[in-house]
Amino acid sequence: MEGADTRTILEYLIICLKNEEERQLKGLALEGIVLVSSNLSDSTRGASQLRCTTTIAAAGNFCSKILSEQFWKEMDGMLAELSVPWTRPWTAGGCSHEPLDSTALQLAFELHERPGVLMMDCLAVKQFIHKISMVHPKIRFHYCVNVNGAVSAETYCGEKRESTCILNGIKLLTDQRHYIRVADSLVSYGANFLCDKIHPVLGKAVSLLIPHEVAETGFTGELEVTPAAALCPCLKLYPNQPAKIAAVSIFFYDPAGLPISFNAKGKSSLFFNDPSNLAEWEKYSYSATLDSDPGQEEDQVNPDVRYKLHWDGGSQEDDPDTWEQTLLLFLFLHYSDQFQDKPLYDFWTRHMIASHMDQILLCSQETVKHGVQAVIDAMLQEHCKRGKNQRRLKLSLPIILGAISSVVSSSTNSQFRRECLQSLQQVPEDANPAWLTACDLPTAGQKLAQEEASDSINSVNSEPASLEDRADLWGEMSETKRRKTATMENNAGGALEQEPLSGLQERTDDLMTDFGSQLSFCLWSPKEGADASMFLGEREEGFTAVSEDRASSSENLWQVGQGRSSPEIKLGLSKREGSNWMALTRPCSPALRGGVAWRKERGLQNQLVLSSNVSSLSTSLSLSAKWG
Amino acid sequence: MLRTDSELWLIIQNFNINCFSSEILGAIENVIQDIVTSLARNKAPVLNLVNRSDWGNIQFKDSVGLQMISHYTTRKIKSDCPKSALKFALMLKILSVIYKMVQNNTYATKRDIYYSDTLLFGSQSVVDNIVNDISCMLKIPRRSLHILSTTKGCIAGNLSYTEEDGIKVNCTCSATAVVVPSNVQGIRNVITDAKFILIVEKDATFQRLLDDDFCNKLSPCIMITGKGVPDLNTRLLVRKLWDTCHIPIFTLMDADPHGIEIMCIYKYGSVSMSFEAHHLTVPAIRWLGLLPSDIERLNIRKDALIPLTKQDQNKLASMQKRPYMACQPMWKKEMEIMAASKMKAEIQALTSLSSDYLSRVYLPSKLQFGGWI
Repeated sequence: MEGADTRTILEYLIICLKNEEERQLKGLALEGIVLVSSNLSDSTRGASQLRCTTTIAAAGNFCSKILSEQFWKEMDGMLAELSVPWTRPWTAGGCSHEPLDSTALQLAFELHERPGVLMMDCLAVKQFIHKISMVHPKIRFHYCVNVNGAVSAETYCGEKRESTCILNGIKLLTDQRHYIRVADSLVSYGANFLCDKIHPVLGKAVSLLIPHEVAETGFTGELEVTPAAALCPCLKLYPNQPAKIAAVSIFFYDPAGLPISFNAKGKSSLFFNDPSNLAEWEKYSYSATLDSDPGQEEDQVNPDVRYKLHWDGGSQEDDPDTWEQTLLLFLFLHYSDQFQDKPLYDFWTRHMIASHMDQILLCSQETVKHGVQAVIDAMLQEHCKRGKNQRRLKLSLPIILGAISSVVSSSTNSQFRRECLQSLQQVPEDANPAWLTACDLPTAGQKLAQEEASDSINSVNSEPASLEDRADLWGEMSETKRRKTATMENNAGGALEQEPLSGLQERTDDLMTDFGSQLSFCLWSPKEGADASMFLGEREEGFTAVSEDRASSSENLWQVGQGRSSPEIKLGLSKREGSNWMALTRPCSPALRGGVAWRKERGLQNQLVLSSNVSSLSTSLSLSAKWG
Repeated sequence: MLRTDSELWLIIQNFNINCFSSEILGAIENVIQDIVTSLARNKAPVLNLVNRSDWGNIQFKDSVGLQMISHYTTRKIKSDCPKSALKFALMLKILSVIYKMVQNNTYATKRDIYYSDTLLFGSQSVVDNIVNDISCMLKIPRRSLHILSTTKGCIAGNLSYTEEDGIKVNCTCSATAVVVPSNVQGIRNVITDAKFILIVEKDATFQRLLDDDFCNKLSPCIMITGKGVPDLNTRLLVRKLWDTCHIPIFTLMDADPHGIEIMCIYKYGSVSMSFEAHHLTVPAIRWLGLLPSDIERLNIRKDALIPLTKQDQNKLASMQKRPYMACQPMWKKEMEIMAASKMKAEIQALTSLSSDYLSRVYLPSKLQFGGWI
C-alpha cells in the first residue's frame, strides 16, 4: 500500500497547487520541486520482506503559497486515515541526486512489505508521477528508489527547451518520447529527422450529466470534458511514407491535472469497453479491441486505456515498410460550480469523481461519444486522406516506369538508350525508399540492361551441350574470326594475328590481340541458376574488337582484370567469393593463358568475358558457367 | 528516271515525314532523358507545362489573333506530389503511345487513346487536355504527333481537293455535305471558283442553306460549319482555304454571346490553343450576321427573341473586355446593343419573316450591299 499512500499525498499536494493557481492571476504558474524517494532495505521482519522508507518533500514558491494552517489541518486529517504512520522529519530533505536546501514540506513513512509488491508499487508511483508531470511542466518531480544501495532516479520536468502546447488552459508536454518509443526500424530508415513533437488537435468541450448516485453524495459541481487528439509519431515530414495506426492510447486527467485510472482494483471501464464510443472504426477500415494488458513501458507514460487497432483494408499489414502510429486521445475534465464564486476542486471532489467516473461517462454516453468522435474522426480522415494520396502515388509510379521503359526499349537511338541505361544504373542506393520501392528502379535498370543484352545476344544457348559434341572449337572460332577480320582490322587498335587454318595445336588465338587492349567477347548471364554453356564458335556478333579509347559504351568494353578492380580468374579455378561464381567444367590446356575475367556491373547481371592470349590449344574448350 | 509529280510528292512527303518524325522522337526522348537524369540524381522528376489557359500568357496581335507570349509562365507537374502524380503518369503514358505511333507511322484519335484504357484515363477530357499539353510542351502540332482529332465539321460548295491518300473529294454535290478531312495538312490540289466562304455556326442552318442550294444561287461559294464550337480540323481547313484562295470569309452566327464567341474562335483563336494560333486563326474573317442591329432593323417579332440569361450576360460582359474587341469598334457596338436590349436571337428567328428569308433575302442583300462588319 506504499504506492497508494504516496499517490494520495501527491494528489492532495497537486490539488492544493491547482487551487492556488486558480486563485492567482490568470497565467501565473507556480513553480517548485516535488521529491519522492523510496529507500528499500533488508527488513528486520524476515527475509521475505523489505523495509521501505518513503519520503515526500516539496520546495519552491508554490509551497509557500499552499502551506497554511488549513493545509496542515487537512493534511493531518488525511494522514490519519492512511494505513501507515507518518512522520515529519525536520532534517533537510531531498536525496543525493536532488538535494533540497530547504523544504517547506516533508513527510516520511515506513512499512514492511514483500519485495514484489514494493517493486510494483514503486513502478506505479513512477508512472503516476510521470503522468502528472505531463500537465504540470513548471513543477519538477524527482523520484528516487534506493534498493540496498542501488539507486535509480528519474526527474520529470518541463525543461525550458521542451515543447508544450496549451489546450484549453492546460499545458501539455508535446515531446513524443513521453508517449512512444521510436522503433529501431524507424531509426534505420532515417527517422532521426522525424518531427519529435505531437500536434494535438483540441475538440469541443462536452458537458457531463451527473448521475443520481453522485449527486446524492453532495456533489454540486458541473463537469465538462474536452478531448484532444494527436497522432504519434508525427509523419508530416514523410508524406509518402505508408503508415497505419496500431493503437489508441487514452490519457484522462481530472481538473487538477491528476490522472484518472479505470483499472483500479481489477475493474475495467464499461464506457471504454466499447471501442465504438470513440469512433466508427469500420468506416476507416479499422477494427479496435480493448487492450486489457497494455503492459508498462518504463520510459513512456502509460495510458489509462489502450486499444489495439487492426487494419482491415488491404495488404498494409504485410508491407514491412509501413510505419506504425499511435492515436493519442487526451480527455481533460473541467470542474465548475455555479453556486460558488470560485469553485474549489478539493480532494474529496476528486475522490468522488475518480470513483464514479465510469458512471458519469455512461450517463452522458451519447454526448461524450459525439465529442470524442468528432476529434478522432478529424485525425482518421487526415490519416485516410494520406493513405489515399499514397495509393494514388503508388498507382502512378508503375505507369511512369512503364512509359519510360517503353520509350527507352523501343528507341533506335543508341546514344539515348545508353545514357538512359547508365543513368538508371546510377540511382543511389540511399534513395527515398518509398519512391524506389514503388518504382523498383534498380530492377528496371536491370530489365533494361537485360533487354539490351538480349538485343545483342540473339540466341543464348541455355542448354548445356555435351562436351563430346564439341569439335574444333578453336577452329570454329577461327572461322568466325576470319569472316570478321576486315571489321576487326578497321576497329582494332592492336595487332591482329592472321593464322592459317591449320591444326589446333598450332593455332594461335587470334581473337584477341594484346592482352588487355581488345574486346573479345561478352555475354550476359542468363537467368539465375541456369546453366549456360557458351560456344564461342557459334557466336558471331561478339567478335567485334573495339579499342578501349574508341569504345563508347561500357557494355562492349572489356577492361583488363589485371591491375583493375575485377580480379582475374585462372582457368581451372572456379570460385570467386562474394559474387557469382563461374566454373569451368573442363580445364583447358595450360597453354591457354590470359584467362577469363568477369566484371560485375552494378545493376546488371554478371557479365562473363572471355579473352585469351593463346599460344596453343590442344583440346576443345567448353565453358560452362553458372550464375548463382 | 523521270518521276511523276505524284511520286515526287510522295518522296518529298516521306522525306519530310522522316525528318519530322525523328524530331518528334528526339523531342520525346529528351523529355524521357530529363526524367531519367532526375531519377539518377535522386530527385523526383517534374514536367513543366505552359499555362495554356492563362490570359496572362496571351497577347493579341491583330494580324494573328490570340497568341502565346514568348515569356510565358509555366507550372510544374510533380511526380512525387499525390495531387499531380497521376497527371504526370498519364502524360508519360500518352507520350509513350505517341512515340510508338510515330515510330510505326500509325495514327489514332484522342478517342482511341481514351478507349485504350478508360479506367486509367477516367474521362475523354483528361486525354484531350493532356494531348494539348503535350503538343504545347513539345511545341509540335497535335496532328504531327499522329493524333487525329475527330472531325465533326462539314463543308459544301464550290470546292474540290485531293486528300493525302489520293482520294479526290468534290464538295459541289448539292445534296449532301462532305465531312471536313481529318488530315487537313495533307490535302492538295485545292480547286475552287468560290467568291467567298461562309462559316455557319449551326448545323441546322447549314443544312437549311444546303437544301436551299445557296452555294449555287448567289455566286459560287463554299460553306463550312463546325456545328457549334469548331474542332481543330475545321479551323485548320478554314485557315488552309484562306491561305490557298484568299477570298473573303464571312460568318453567320446566332445573335447571342455564344455565337459571337464561336466567331471569335475562328477569327482570333482560343486561349487554350494560342500556341498554335498561326495555323488556326483567320483574322480577316468578317461578321455577316445575325447582327443584333439586324433584329431591330428587320423588325423581328419580340416573341421570336429570347431573353439573355445571367450566364449570357456574364459572357457578354467578359467578351467585351477581351483584348481583340478594342480593334473592333463595330463589333463592340453590336454587343452593346445586345446588352442594352437584354435579348438574343437565333438565325431561325428570321423564319418569322418568311421560311426562306435567310437564303432568299437576308444573305443575298447582306452580301450584295456589304452588310458585314
